[in-house]
Amino acid sequence: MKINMLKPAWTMKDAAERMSRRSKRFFIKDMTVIFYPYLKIVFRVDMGERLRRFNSKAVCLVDMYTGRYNLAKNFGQFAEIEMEENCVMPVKVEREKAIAGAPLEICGDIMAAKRLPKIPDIVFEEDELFYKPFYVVECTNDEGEFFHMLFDAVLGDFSLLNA
Amino acid sequence: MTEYIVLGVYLVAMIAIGIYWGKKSKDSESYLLGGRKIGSFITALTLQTTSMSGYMFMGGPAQAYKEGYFTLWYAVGDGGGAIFNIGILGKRMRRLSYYLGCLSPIEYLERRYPSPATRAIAGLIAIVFVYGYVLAQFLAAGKTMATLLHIPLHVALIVGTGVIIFYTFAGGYLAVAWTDFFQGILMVAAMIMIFVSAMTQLGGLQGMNEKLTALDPTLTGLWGRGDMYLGQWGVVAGAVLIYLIGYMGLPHVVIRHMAMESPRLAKKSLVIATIWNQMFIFIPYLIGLMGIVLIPNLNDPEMVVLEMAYKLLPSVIAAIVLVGIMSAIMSTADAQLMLMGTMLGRDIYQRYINKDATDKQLMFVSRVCVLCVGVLSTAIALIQPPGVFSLVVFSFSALGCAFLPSYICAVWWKKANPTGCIASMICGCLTSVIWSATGLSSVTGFHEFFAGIIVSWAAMIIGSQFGKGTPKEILDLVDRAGCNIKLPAGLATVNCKQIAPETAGVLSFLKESSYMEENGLQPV
Repeated sequence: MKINMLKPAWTMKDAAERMSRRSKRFFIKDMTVIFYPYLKIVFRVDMGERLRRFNSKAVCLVDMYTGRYNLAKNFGQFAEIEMEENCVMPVKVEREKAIAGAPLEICGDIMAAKRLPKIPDIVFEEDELFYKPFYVVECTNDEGEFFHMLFDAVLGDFSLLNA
Repeated sequence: MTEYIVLGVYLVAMIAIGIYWGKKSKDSESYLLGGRKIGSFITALTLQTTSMSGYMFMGGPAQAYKEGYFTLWYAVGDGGGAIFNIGILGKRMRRLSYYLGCLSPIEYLERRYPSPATRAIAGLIAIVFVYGYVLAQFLAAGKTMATLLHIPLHVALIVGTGVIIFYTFAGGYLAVAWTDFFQGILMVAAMIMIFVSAMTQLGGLQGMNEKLTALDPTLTGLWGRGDMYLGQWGVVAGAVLIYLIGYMGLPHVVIRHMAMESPRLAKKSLVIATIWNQMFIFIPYLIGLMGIVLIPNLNDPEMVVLEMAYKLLPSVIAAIVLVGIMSAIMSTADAQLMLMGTMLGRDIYQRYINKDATDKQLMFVSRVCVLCVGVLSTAIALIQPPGVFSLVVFSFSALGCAFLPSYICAVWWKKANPTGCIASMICGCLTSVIWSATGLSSVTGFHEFFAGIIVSWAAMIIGSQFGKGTPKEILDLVDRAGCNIKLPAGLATVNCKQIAPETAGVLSFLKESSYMEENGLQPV
């Protein structure tokens, strides 16, 4: 299937090196990629004529698997790629519902981030579905017991998956 | 008037928690198990408050008031209950339930001991006896409110149970766990206040013992008032064991292990629960003992805690004690109500009526079941079945004897198979019921729990020698559930908060999909 992907900043080799720096006492056995769905929604933040100096744009990021909302800051570059369907996580949140719920969810964050003096009108402008790559890393410890980690291929953060 | 205000504030707070968490429960896993994201503190307190029930405010102290120091045998067992419960089952059950992908404690048994009969029998036993428990708690809530606020029983029942039904219906497991957390704090605070002021009046433990001995020397002995249990070690063993290991057989208690955020939290939960236990368990019994000296000739010993509160504390504090009693009752009733919803929705509706039920349908049916069971129980409680606490002990004993060996062997004994599980459930439950119904405890000197649990274990061990063994893939999972992965130093704390939600999302996807298998990876 064809997907719109956020370009990874970390290759699998870089990721392995970064994780190895945390500890030498584990072995990476395998690493696979998985794509996590997000919806990027651009809103116009309208404060009216008198407070127009506060007018701006805000970008909301919706986690389309769990339905979590976040105010987004920077994005990397996007690229269209062809991927096998089993590597792509399904979209579990309806696009229309995600867009409809966003203003309420992020209004407080927008007001805090932009220090707005009153509640703004948040007007939908555009949206774009994209996928972020993560690496699923299979490791073993000294005794050969398996555990897994998840590596964010864009930001370089990683976390234990199931230990 | 003060009681009305304090109780009103408390009930409104419980409703608010229900509404708040209702909005957060978006799928069946979050409604039925809190999305398996319950932290160590909440796990510890919800486990303990669910276990304790109104018995600790009414039944326990009343027993101490009637039998003296003998009742501390129950407290001794109860004090170590959390260590046994979380230590033996906690981590392993959390892991295995996750590997098996189950949401209810009955479904867990069926998947560990795969046989259609496992679920049918376990479901039947659980539904009948948990329902008995729900009924008893509802009745206790109504009776307490009616007695203390001087309002008619039917009004008290409708108000008290209405609040429990509402927040359980609306908020699901998360509301139940969070209300339990606050209720746990209230319960301890209420008990400590009475305990400290009574101790001050009596001149400490020594003063209390001297006064008790002056009244009746057998009150401070270990065989009960008038040495009524002299030499009956079977009764003593039952009294210690019922709360020491009994909780491991209660479905509404063990489901708390399944909802833990991570198996690693089990150790921390164990420490918190044990500390809470030591702060709480002995106090109700000691208050009952102090009541013998401070309020002799009490008509209804079940009211000893409250009478002490009104005698020793200002009215506002006494009202908080009333709220503490309601908390103890409600924290158990809500958990049982929730479990009834889970079992009827997941184990009956999805299993037998609509196998292809969507997540939304399952959540809806579970909610409706919570509502129906709640309303039905209230209606039956209005007719008032006999004896609250006899119903509790009867149900507790039957559930414990039916399920305890099955839950323990599920994670500790690989040879345990469906035949053993079924035999253990039937024999344990029947022995406990027959022992109670025919009054064999007094004839044989064996507590019904003690007798039931011996038969149940024997049936598990003998039954497991016959019939089909458990499939290898399940035994592999049992092995994995018992395996503590030793993480290298430096990796043990790798938990990036930035990607925590994604980590949970990916984990859930990997679990549900065939991704790991298709990519030649080990299952998560």
